[in-house]
Amino acid sequence: MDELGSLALAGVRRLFAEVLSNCIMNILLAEDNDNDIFLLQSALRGRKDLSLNIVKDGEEAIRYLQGEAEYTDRAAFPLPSLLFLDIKMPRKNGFEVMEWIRSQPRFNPLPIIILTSSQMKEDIEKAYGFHVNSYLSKSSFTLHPEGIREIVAYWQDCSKAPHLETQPSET
Amino acid sequence: MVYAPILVAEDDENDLLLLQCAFKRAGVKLPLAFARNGEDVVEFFTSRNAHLNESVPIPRLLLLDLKMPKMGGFDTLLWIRKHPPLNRLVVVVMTSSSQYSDIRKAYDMHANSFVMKPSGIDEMAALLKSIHNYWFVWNESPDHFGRRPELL
Repeated sequence: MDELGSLALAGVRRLFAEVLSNCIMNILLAEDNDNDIFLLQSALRGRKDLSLNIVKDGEEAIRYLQGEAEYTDRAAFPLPSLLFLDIKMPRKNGFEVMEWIRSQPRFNPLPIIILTSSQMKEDIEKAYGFHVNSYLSKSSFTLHPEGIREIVAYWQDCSKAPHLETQPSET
Repeated sequence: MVYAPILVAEDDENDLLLLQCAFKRAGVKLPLAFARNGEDVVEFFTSRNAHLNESVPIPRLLLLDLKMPKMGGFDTLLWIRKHPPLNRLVVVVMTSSSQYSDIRKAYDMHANSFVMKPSGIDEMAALLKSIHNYWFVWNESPDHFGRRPELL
């Protein structure tokens, strides 16, 4: 009976954790500029309904998504339901990250929001060619705390996010 | 032919009426174009005599219902993504079903966004206002003004 009780308790705990994690929006920000990181962090500080994790180059972003090296702990580094992606980054740039994500069946549905200082037509066209979901250019409006909160609110409250599989599916 | 920045693909009469009223209530005054099913959407983009020619740009946003007769939302999305420059067209999928598999499938097929269709006019107006604000104010649209899809 004790064993049954603790099993039930573990089940309830698991269910509770699952429900809780469904209420929280996990955002991954791939950005190398400390200033911009600070702006996003401070605009979203203290929010219980979302978590923000940061990676500072393209290779780190891929390691995070794959749960490799320093990112094996999924509780601390959950799979995101939204990726804010800078274009100009060291090691691997944003385009290489988009291309990689869209080539992975597991991550293909992940909503990618480009957040970049580039307003060049070629960059915008190229990004949409890789099927990014949205392209935002950094400005005093988008990086204003109110702007950041409004943009996040669209993806949190209006648009539904797909659920990514934690484990790579066997094919 | 007036340029319509928003194309709405919806077959249900009631939902159509709700959308039209909600757009008004939301204060979105952009001209709208309507399609009644997927075949209508294809017709919209390919018709030689009507909706698209060199001088009339293609819409910046497609609001796409999933459940439509003749050609449903997924088939329409598949067709759109196969026909440049429509592969870059911003598509917001709108549906009353919240099936998890539909959400994933829509993103897998590169819908830009997936929203649930509210049944009340106030909720619908609020949603349309957010959609308009996000995709017309914040988002940088791809540039495909006046280009016809490269048909096979």
